Amino acid sequence: MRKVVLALVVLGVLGLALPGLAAKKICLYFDQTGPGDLSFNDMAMLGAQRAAQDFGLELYYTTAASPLEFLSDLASLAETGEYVLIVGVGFLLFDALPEAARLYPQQKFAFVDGPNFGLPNVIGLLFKEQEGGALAGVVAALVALAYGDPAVGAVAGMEIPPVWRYEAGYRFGAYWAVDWYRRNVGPAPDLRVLVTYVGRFDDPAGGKVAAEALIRAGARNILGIAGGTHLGAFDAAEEAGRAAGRTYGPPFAYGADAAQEYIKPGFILGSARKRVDTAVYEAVRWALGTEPGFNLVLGIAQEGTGFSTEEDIRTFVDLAVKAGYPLAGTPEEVINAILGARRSVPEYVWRALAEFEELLRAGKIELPAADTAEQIAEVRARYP
Amino acid sequence: MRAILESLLALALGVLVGAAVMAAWGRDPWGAYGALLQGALGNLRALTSTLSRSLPLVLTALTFAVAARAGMFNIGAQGQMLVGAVVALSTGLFTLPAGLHLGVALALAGLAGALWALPVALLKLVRGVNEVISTIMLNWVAHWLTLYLVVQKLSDRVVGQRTFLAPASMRFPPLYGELTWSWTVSVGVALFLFWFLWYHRQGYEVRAVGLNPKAARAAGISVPRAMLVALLLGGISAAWAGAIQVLGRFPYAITSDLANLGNLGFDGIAVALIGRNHPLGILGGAFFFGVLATGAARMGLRGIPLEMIQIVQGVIVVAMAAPEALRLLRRVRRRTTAEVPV
Amino acid sequence: MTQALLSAEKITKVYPDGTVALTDVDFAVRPGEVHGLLGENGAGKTTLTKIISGLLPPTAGRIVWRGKPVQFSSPREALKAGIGMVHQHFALVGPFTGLENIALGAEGGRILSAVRAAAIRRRVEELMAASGLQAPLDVPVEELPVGVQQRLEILKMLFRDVELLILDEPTAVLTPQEVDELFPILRRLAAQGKSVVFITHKLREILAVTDRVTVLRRGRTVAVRDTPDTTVEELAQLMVGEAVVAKVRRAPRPPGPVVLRVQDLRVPGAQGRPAVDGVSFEVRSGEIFAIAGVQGNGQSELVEALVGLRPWTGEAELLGRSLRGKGPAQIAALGLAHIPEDRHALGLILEFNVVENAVLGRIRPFLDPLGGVRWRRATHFAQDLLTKFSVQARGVRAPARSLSGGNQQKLLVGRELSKTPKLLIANQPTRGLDVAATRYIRDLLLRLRDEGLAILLVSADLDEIVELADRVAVMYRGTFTGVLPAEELDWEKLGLLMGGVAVQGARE
Repeated sequence: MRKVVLALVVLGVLGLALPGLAAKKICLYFDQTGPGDLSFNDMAMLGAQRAAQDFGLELYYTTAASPLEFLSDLASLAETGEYVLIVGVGFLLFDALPEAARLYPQQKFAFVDGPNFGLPNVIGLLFKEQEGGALAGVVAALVALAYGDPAVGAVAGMEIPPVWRYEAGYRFGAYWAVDWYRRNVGPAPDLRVLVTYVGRFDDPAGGKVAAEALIRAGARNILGIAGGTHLGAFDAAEEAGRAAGRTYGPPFAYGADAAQEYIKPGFILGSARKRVDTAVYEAVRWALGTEPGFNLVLGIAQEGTGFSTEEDIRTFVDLAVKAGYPLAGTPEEVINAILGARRSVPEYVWRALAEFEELLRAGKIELPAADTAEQIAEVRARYP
Repeated sequence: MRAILESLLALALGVLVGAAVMAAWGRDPWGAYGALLQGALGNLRALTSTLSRSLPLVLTALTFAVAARAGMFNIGAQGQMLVGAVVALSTGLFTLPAGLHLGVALALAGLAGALWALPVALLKLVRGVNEVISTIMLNWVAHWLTLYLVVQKLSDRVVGQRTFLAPASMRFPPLYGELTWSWTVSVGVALFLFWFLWYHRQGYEVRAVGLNPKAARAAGISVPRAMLVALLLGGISAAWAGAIQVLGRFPYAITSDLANLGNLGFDGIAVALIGRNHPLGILGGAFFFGVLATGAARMGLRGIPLEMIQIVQGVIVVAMAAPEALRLLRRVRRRTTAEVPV
Repeated sequence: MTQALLSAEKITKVYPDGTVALTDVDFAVRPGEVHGLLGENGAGKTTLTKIISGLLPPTAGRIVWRGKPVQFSSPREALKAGIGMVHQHFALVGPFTGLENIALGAEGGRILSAVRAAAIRRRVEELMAASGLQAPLDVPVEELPVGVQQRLEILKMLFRDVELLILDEPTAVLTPQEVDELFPILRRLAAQGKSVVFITHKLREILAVTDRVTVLRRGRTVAVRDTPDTTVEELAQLMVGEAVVAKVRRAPRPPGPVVLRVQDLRVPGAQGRPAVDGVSFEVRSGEIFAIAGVQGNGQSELVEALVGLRPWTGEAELLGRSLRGKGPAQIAALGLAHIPEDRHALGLILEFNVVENAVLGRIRPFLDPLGGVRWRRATHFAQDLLTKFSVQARGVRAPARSLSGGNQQKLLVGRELSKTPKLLIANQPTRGLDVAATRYIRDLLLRLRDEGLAILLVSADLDEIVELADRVAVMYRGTFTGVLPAEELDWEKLGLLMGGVAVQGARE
């Protein structure tokens, strides 16, 4: 055994002697799942790709094998000295990223979904997820009322602040919409907001089971805020709709982060946008400069959050074609199906959405905070 | 001596098969192995990462080994490890002076591990329930219980994906890089069990029972007591594996998918087999396993697909564990055939 | 002279460990006869039939089947040729029904379709009618009595069209009534042209059912007789051999005080039948009390009960202290040493080294106050044992497995005697040992007797009994068929008692 160890050590030292390369790369480090979720992670990739192209950098990415690896992985990446910027993608890096940043002060880090911890070599990329969530909540609630459903639902990933913020906004938006309906359309029953946490971001099967349960409970408008997991919720919505003989909802699902309508055209009515791509792009620009770290907070005012527009939908169908995603028809057919679904719901839904968005931009609506467990508990109690 | 030679041959075989797999995948195997070694041992920080990964595996491997020495197939380390981790962390709900706090946490965790092993022993000795069955079942009970506590009761108020952090008064002091003084627990328990098995009457009886229970009984050795001792000591050891993972390693908490506790209990079985169920062999086996695991994680950073890394890792571990596993199986078969007179 | 259906010519079998089981054995079976194979345990009956049925290869000699030399490499091949063996332990699958067991492994019998099942049932019913072997076909066999299971085993063989049926001690597991039912069936099979080899050590059964008998003793054929031309007395003598050892070695000695007293001891056995069915005896200081008998008549169970390894009822006292409810450690503490019949299973731990084996069951003197083992002291002790009992070993660190059988036994005996016991129970103490080791152990036992130790000797070796015993009890089916003082020992009497024939003059 001793001989083996000795041999291993010798080999290891030899390996170390390999010369490092000049710092012309950026690296994306994903906390749980990598690209392929058609949502959060792919958005980060998108921004990084654009930045790499614009600034002439090489792009690398890798995914953690387990949370045990976070610190070692980040440290290993940092100690190569090869990367202008290491982008930690995902809130789960909350402990490891600042630890690594303190150990390697010369290395610049970006933290998607997390703060910069007051560290000069970290840029925190934060979003006002409440805003996208609230916009989706408004649409979901009004569609639910139009079809006489007793509830709206959401399939969530893990209990972490960015997901809580989505949830809080969604709840608020749904309640606002019921009020709006009573004021502008007619009497309406109270709606329940049912949110299921699957506990992972990489479990589509679990997401599907959760969505099916929500549909059975009468929540036929479901927001997905679970990354790869809520792809299963899309399947559930489409299957239930087709089983009822429809080519578009209800049930309707709602995507998150990206404009995900193209995944199940006709059954995804909209998406709560969160421009992770913009944030990552900005982080790369920061890394090439000399400014100390800060928190970049993107909201609707910076076009960092929002509800997917027709233009967004076209952009993402285009991206899907380029990425070789197997669309359910020609791009035109897909876009027509998506817009057809939007036209199938009462026109006042879109009027209310526009009204809400205007109030939001004007700062006339204050969304509830949900950065801690206590705060989200309060929101849940207030908007059950 | 023969054992070492056997292990070296197995290692060579595993490495070659792993290389063939990577070559078939169209990768350069020797470059990948280089990355593995550099990732695990390339510098002092990497070495501390490797060591700190090995430490809890020593303890769960000892759980398996001491039971195997008593002739049992104890796969309950996983559950006992989880229970130990959650009990150790829960001790952080109380405020105690530094040092004492750590001692109390370890004591409680050890107690919990022993209690978790007790039903296995009672079911086996009183009702004749096979320990494989009962440990599998208790592993699941522990899994869901721990998950419930971690998610519902111990979760951090701001960072929902893990529990609160173990207070500083309860942590093992850091040593260097990722290494903390928790190594004293792993090495200490390994040395203790070495002494126990070969230099203490009860350990002698444990080995006698494991090799030939009939002869042990005829010689007046209490077979149930020996088995009970082996299971309880194993329970304590496994619980401490969970405890040092929480109190002696970043991030000093349990992630809400229990991923930072991972499969420590099951990996311990492989480590025990690599280490020939001998406490000192296990120290080496755990380090070897740590090198593979840490190095493999770093291979991922070089863009080698995770699945392939895991295949290669698995091939090498299986090759290293096979000799002892076959020995155990042969012994079981000999025992069962011996009971059926021809 | 009729052409033999099967003949085994000059068969010699040497096991890998050097044991010579058979030497130049000749054995022939004619068509349509029931042929008895008689011998003590260890005479080589089972080895011979295992060779015939393809379970073991012979070391030398050949098997001729229907006039052609054959070499079966597996029981399956032998079965195909028409030779089937029913072992003492049946090869039946407990939860399966009789029919399923019969169909199992039969030609093309992988899946028991309804059509095939019906066909098989018809054949089996025909066979039952023809042979008189009646057995229920639709009951899981584990719910059936042993005698019925045995019939199913025989039916299984008949279903495979065997011409030679070998039954290994078929009556050992049967009640007298079941035995009475079995014999006419064997006769009927013979009348239908089948040949049956019937293994037993019971003389009466040979006379009752066989046409001819071959007697084996110590791996050699000693006689072949037509059954009508022989007698129980002749067979008994053939089986056990001539008296060869004069009883000069043993000096007469007045018996000392009673050390072990056993009253109406009963030990439950397998299948609800008592293994020991009420025995009473005493062993005195300075006396060797021997229990003779063919193995499997309750001797092992009796010993295991006395040393605390088996539950029992009745009463047993060692030096006036009851053994009731005591375990092996407590009984040993009262002054009992035990040389078990199977040293590999009970006496030694083969993977342990000599030192570790030397302190097995007597580690207490080598402990420090914390329970740590003082190996240095134990090593000295082991070295002393090796010298004192002339054990040849590579060293005290060598595993017991590396010692020869004789040296393992000497190590074991030395360890047991180092306990300074009041009573020594020696169960088959010389079995499997070479001549020198056997001599050593027997001399040692006699010396210990002269020094006043009480010795309970259990042996299937009549030479050993005659040479060592002061008094002899013969055990048969769980009871003593007689207890004889050494002066009255007589080969013929012993043989008859061991064969289960009550003898006049032997005390019950």
